[in-house]
Amino acid sequence: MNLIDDVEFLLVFGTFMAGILIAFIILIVILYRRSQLKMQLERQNFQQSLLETEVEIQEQTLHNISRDLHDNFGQIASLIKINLNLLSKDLPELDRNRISESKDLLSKLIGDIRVLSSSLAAENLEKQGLAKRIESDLDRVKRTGAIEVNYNTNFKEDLMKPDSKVFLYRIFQEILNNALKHSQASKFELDLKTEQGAFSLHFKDNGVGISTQKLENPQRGLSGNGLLNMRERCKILGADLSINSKADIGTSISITIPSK
Amino acid sequence: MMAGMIFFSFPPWDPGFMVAILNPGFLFSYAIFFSAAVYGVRHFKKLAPAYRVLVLLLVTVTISETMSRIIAYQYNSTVPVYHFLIPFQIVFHSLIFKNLFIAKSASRLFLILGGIVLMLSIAISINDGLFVFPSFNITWLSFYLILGTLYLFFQLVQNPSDKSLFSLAEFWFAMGTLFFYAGTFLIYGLYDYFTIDGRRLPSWVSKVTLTLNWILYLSYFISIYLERIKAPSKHESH
Repeated sequence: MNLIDDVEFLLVFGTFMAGILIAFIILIVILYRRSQLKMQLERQNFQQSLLETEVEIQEQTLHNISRDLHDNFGQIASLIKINLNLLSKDLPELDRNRISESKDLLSKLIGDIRVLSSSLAAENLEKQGLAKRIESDLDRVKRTGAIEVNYNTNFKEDLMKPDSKVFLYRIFQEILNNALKHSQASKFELDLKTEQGAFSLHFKDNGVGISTQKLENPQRGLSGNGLLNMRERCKILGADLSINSKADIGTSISITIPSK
Repeated sequence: MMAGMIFFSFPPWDPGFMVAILNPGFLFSYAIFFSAAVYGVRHFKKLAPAYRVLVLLLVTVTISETMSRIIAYQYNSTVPVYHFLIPFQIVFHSLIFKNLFIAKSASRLFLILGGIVLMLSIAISINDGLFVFPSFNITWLSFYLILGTLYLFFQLVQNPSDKSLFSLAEFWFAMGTLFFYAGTFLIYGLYDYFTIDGRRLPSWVSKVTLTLNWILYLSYFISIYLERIKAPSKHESH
């Protein structure tokens, strides 16, 4: 082989070989990326089903508690009330008054048990309707007289699946519980809307707000459970959650469920 | 050019054969694997078993390349050293594969295959003698390592991590090995054809081999570096 042959051979052979190897590496990179995406998707699906199972268990537990409250505690309280009615007939005036007070307290307890039992059971939600159920929960808050509540809704019950309604209701309960426990607010505003097939829930209070640290890094076991539960449920629901909070100005929470 | 050749020749007063084997290209190559070996030895304890073996391989290469130049000064040939280096390369690569492969069956298969290639290489060296260039040995070694790296790529694709492919030590090890040994497999597989009728090996062979050397040892260096900076808690063995 002479020098020209050498150079030609080197150019053709070298370029061909390098081309094949580079094409092979590019192929590996593409295959690896695809495999990586597949793995991420599988992991997401796994996490989603894990969350769903967790929520399912929670719902089942709530259902059991609701049934126990209704069947056992409610019945026992009713029996006590009947006994007190029977007892009060032959007693002096002072004792009758005390028993009457006890009966009033028992009536309140029975009412509270019924409301609590009803709010825990998911199947009642479908019967009553989400918008109505939220309204009755807010009415209870309003009745305390400590908090002013504004509620607006044009929610279309038929457009949302029953399961999603349970999820949205549980999120609402978290929001309400958090606000009642921590916000020290004097005013709540809630909008539950259906617009062009999409649903939204906007909540606003004028309380002390949530600290940035807790918002950014809520931790289970501490006081961040409510936030974490909300995030998890929104994730399962496929909803966008946005929380804005300013110290001493208040907190606003927006949940948007896009139309499918 | 001549001045450069004399400058890099050893001994400087005797330019000739030594100029060809102690050229700037070789010295650059030497600098890469020497640095990789030093870096690997410095961080030896932080490395996973496969990369510790890789460091041992680089140390062996550094010693053998140094010895080859000393032997060349004595016998005008670097060939004998490669007859001794190749068995070490087979053993070290078999151990690297054993530690990198997830499937036990694949590890076992490649250990057996490595054993066969090792015996074949020793037999060829005994048969041909130490002063015949071990092109057959290199071809068998290349064949073995190409199979190993192809399996390693397959394993990487089958078991992806969250990290980018380019930040995985295994990828750089496999890529460097594949590039180098695919080249040597073709070149030394065609060795008899190139040297037919007593012709000299084409001049491009040494240039291509040198370039492939740079790719190989740079890839090994990157591989060891990536392995070292990998956080111990996130250690994943592919």
